[in-house]
Parts: sequence; C-alpha cells; structure tokens
Amino acid sequence: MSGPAAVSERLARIVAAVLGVDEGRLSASDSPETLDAWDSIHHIQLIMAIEAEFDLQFSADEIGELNSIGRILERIGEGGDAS
Amino acid sequence: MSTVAAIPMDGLRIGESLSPAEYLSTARRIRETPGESLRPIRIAVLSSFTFQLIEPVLVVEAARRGLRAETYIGAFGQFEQEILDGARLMAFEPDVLVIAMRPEDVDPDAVVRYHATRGQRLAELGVELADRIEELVHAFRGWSRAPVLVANFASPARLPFGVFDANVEGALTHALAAANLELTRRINGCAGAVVWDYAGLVHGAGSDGWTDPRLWAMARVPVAPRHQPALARHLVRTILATRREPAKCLVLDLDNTLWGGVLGEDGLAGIKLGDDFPGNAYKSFQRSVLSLMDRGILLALSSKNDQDLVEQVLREHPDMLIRWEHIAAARIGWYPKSQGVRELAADLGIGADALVLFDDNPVERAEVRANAPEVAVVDVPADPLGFPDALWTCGYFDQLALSDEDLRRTPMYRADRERRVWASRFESVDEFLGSLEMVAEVGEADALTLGRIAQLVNKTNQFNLTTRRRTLAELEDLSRDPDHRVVWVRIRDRFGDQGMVAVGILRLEEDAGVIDTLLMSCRMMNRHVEDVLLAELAALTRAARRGRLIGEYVPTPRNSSVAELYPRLGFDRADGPREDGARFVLDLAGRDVAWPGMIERASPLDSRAGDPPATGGAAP
Repeated sequence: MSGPAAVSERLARIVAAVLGVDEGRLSASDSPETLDAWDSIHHIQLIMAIEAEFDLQFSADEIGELNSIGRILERIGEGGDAS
Repeated sequence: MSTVAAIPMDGLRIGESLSPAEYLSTARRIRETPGESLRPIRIAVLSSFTFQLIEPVLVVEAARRGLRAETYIGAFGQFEQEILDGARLMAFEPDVLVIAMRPEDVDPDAVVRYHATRGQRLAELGVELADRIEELVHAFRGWSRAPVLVANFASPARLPFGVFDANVEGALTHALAAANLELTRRINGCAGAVVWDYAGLVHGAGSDGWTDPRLWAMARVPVAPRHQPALARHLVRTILATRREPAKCLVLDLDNTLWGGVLGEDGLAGIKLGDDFPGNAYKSFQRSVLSLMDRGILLALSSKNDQDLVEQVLREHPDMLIRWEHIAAARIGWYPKSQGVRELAADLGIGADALVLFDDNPVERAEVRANAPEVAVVDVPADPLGFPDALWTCGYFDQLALSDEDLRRTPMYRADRERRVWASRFESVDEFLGSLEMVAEVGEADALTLGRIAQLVNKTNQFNLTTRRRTLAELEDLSRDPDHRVVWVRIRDRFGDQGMVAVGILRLEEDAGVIDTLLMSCRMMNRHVEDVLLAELAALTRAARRGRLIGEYVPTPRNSSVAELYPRLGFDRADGPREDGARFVLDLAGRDVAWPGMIERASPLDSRAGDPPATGGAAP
C-alpha cells in the first residue's frame, strides 16, 4: 500500500511523538507558530526523527525551510521511502 | 547498595533499539509515569557542547537500567559559572556530575591547526583543561559529595597529518594520548572523581561519522543521532559503576557455555572446543572469562553434570583454557540452579548478590531470576560468538579502580584451599593457627591504602559491626581529621600475603574512643585478626589520653555472627537492648585488649614508609 495518506499518517505519528501533541489534531498548516512545543531544539529533533523514519537526509539549508507540516509533506513526497 | 541486577522499566527491553521518535516519546512517558520500579537519580551535565538533544536518549537508557534520570543541563561552556556561582546547580542537588570538555570546543585551532604551533598549543591546552577540571572538581567538593565523571579527550576522525598522523611521534595522535594520561593522573588525585572514557566510546563506535556536521553546525551537538544511544548507554553504565559494588564472582554453566555440546552425551573427546569453528567460539569466550579472572573476579561453576567428568575435562582437555585451579568453587549436580548459586555464595563467603550467572540456557536463567532474584543474570545470546560481547556489555564487573588485592585474588582463594587442607592435619585450632606463622602489619590510612579501605568499607557485610558505607572522599576526610583514626591491618602467613583484610575507624570523643567502624574480610574469620585491630584501637585511644573504648553493634540481616564480639573481648554492655543496636564499653584503666599470641607483629622495617602524597583536588 502506498500513497499520500500513508505518508501523512506516518508523519503525523512522528510529529506527535516528538512534540508530545495529539496526533489526531495535527493538520498540514501546523508550524512553530501554531504549536508551542515546536521550538528550535524540537525542530532539530523532529527533522532527525523524520530522516530516520523515511530513510532520507535533508541538507542543512533545507532543514531551516521545512517549517510546517505541509512543507515537510511536500518534501517527503518528492522522494524518499514513501511506501 | 547491594543488588547488581538491573531492573528494566516495564516493556522496555535492554537490547531493543528505538527510533529517534520512539526515544522522545518513551522519555516523555518515563517522565510522566510515576512509579516505584525506577530509582531516581539526579544527573547534572556540564559540557562544552549542547547536551539537550542527547538528554531524552539518556533518560530512556537510564530507565533500561532501572534509573529514573532527572537531569540538569548546564549552559554549554559555562563550567566555572555553574559550579562557582552554583546556586542553580546546588539547588538541583546532583547525585552525579558529568563534566565533558572537548579540546576542540575550547580551542579549535589547537586541534585542527595542530602543526601551526608544532603541537605546543595542544600540549598547553591539555594542561589548561586538566587544571580547570581539577579546580572545578575541587570547587564542587566544597558543597557536594556526589561523584564526578570527567570525559577524557577523543581523537578527531580527521587527523591533521592524515593517514600518517600515527607515524609521526610529535603528531596529534600521540599528543592526545599523553594529554589523556595526564588527565587520568589528575582525576585519580581528586577524591570521588573518575574518568568517563569518552575517548574509548568514540573509538569503539568509530570516530568516522561520530559527528553529523549538520547537527554540529546548527545545534552544536557533536554526536550524530545514530550514536547517541551508545553514548547514553556508556554514560549510564559509568554512572552505575559509581553507585554500586562490582560483582565478585562469575558463575559459569558448562555445556554449550564453556564448550559446545553436552559432556554427558558427547564425552570428553566429543565436545566442541578447539581452534576451528565452532570450537574456537567457545575457546575465545574462555579467554574473555580469564581476562575477568586476571583482574580479580572469582570463577565458579554451576552445572547439571557429572562432577568427575567435569573435573577430568578441566584438568585434561588440551583446549580448555579455564583449568580446575582457576575455579574458586563448584557446584556440579542435579538440583535447581538457584540452589546451586546460593550454595556457591556460601562456599565463597560472599553474598549471593555478588554473583553473576552466565548460562546459555534461558530456562535456567529464568529459574535463577525467579528463585534467586538477588543474583545478576547475563542476557546470553543464542550464538556463542556473541558470548564475549554479552560478558563485556553486562557491566556487572565494572569497578572504578584496580587494587593490588584484585590482582592477587584468585591465588589468594587458591591459598585458602591449601590452608584448609593444611588445617586438616591439626588436632586443635590453636595448633593450626600457630602453625600458620601469621604476621600482622598495622597502619593508618594514607593515599596508598585509601582505595582498598574504601573497597572494604563498602562491600564487607558479614564481619561488619556497624555497616557504615562511606565514599572515598569521606574516608579521605576522616583520615585527615584530628579526631578520627582510620586503621588498617594486613596479614600474611606461610601460604602467602593476604593483603589488607581489616579496617577500624576510631572517633575520639571527650573521654572515650568510639569504634565507629570495625570490619574484616570474612576469609579471616576465626583467626584472631580482629583482636589485632582491637588491640591497636585500644592503644590509639590510650595514646590520645582517653580512658574508655566504646564499641557499637548495629544489626543488619547479614552481620548476626558478630553480635557478641565485644562481650567476648571483655567489653561490658553499656545500656539495655535497643532496636538500633547495642553499645559496649571497655574501661582501659582496668583492662586491655591483648595482642593475640599466635600473630606476630610486623617490625617497623617491614611496613610501608613515607608520608601520604598530596591528593584531592590540590588546587592552588
């Protein structure tokens, strides 16, 4: 099974685990502005967790730009292990 | 402070690997779930880099070893501020302090541009860091007794002289090794401080890839996510070693543990043991076991087997590295292992909580875990090639320092066996004791003897009148206190040197000497060695012009055999029976404690000479 739904669910699970928020209440528009727990330390932790989950590696430049769930989803969709 | 067995948190297996997200969610669950299964520990970390991202991994790895870690992460690089103006750190009341100072963080050019100053800058940096750390430990000691772990210096993956760095005597490789040796010397001189072998950790994991350049550039974290679990495990293991006594004895199973196959079925010639696979797997495990014995761990056997056949293998099999004379005690027979291991502990005169079982059979391991839970049990993998690693990573034998006694322990236990054979030739105990030609040497604690004294104070259970545990730092303080005397006894006899076997701590009060601590290795029981110690404590009390010697007995589940020691030596009961023990008094005007007739006193020429060298964070 594959498809955008599977990826977004996996991503939501990672975001929830890293930030300690409720998985069901996350949406693509969530970002450091909407989630208090998403501070600079958690951002790094989130990126590292996503890299491990989807077996990919972002460049340092990208890491700063992946500042919303939507953007991260978009970036994962471009490549990586989305099975 | 006795049980070595780890109590992992429910649902958290020791070896299970977790993803970064799982580490974070598990750490949160540990913090939010109250429970008594984890022992709380407050860990303060001061580092020259960002530790915050590693902290959740540390919390999880601590929980796997039965600890609930509360952490204090200092602002990076703020060592002096945190310790000298230590209000915040002080309020945290750390149980352990970790100091991790990386040379390349303090002065990157000293490392990366090593040859710009022909290494001079790095040499100076090494001394500067050692000085700083020494002062930090000393300052910390001003308000805390907690152990301090100091990270040593890891070699970078990229050496300034490339692949030939190690080929050049004056290059970074060798300069860092020298700096680490100097750091070890300084740390060994600081009471209650130990080296955390960060260099060994990085070396073991592989320095290439240890740092993720993105994580370093963006967050000053020098440890890549995939290496953080190894770092946390290594740190937890090091912390645990400062808080518990190392196990004393490795109890080994035989079939499919020391050799492949079943001796009873395959016979001496049929078991798998030799220089080819699979026999070489067992042979190399035996070599690992012997390396533990070499540093003082006793070896014992517990096996469902035929005793004569086993003895034959250990005496005659050409590929057995572990020989019969290496074995301190054996229980070979057809009864439950839990019973066997407890009997081994009794044979050796040590607690069952000082035993570690290594058995390939999961059923036997489960039986011992269930019926002798005080015994630590190694998680043994199915593949014998993994045995040495399982032994190495279990951590039960981690100890902070290696004493002279450790290196001589197995020969000492062997001498005990010879002594028992010798004893059987005599009709009376006194005749036997006289024939041993015992010589006692008595002295007061100094830098050379404090390490062994701390060992005895913290692990003697049976012949221990008050069972007061003390850290090395506390003992060092007592040894310098004018109102205390810390006294030790060494014994040798016709079978060899027994090393330091007894310790007494005398506290001088207004009109009496109070025996705060009186303990003896149980190998010395029934040999009147305690009389030597009492005679010395009485003499010191007299010399300090105190008229009475007061002894205390504080009962524990382990020390009932010495409940009547003081009355036997002529002390009077000072008060009625109390729940917390009893006090006894000897009026030195009327009586004395006689030096035992069958023990000769070592002449002063035999004794160790010299003043104690300066120790203990000798900061200017």
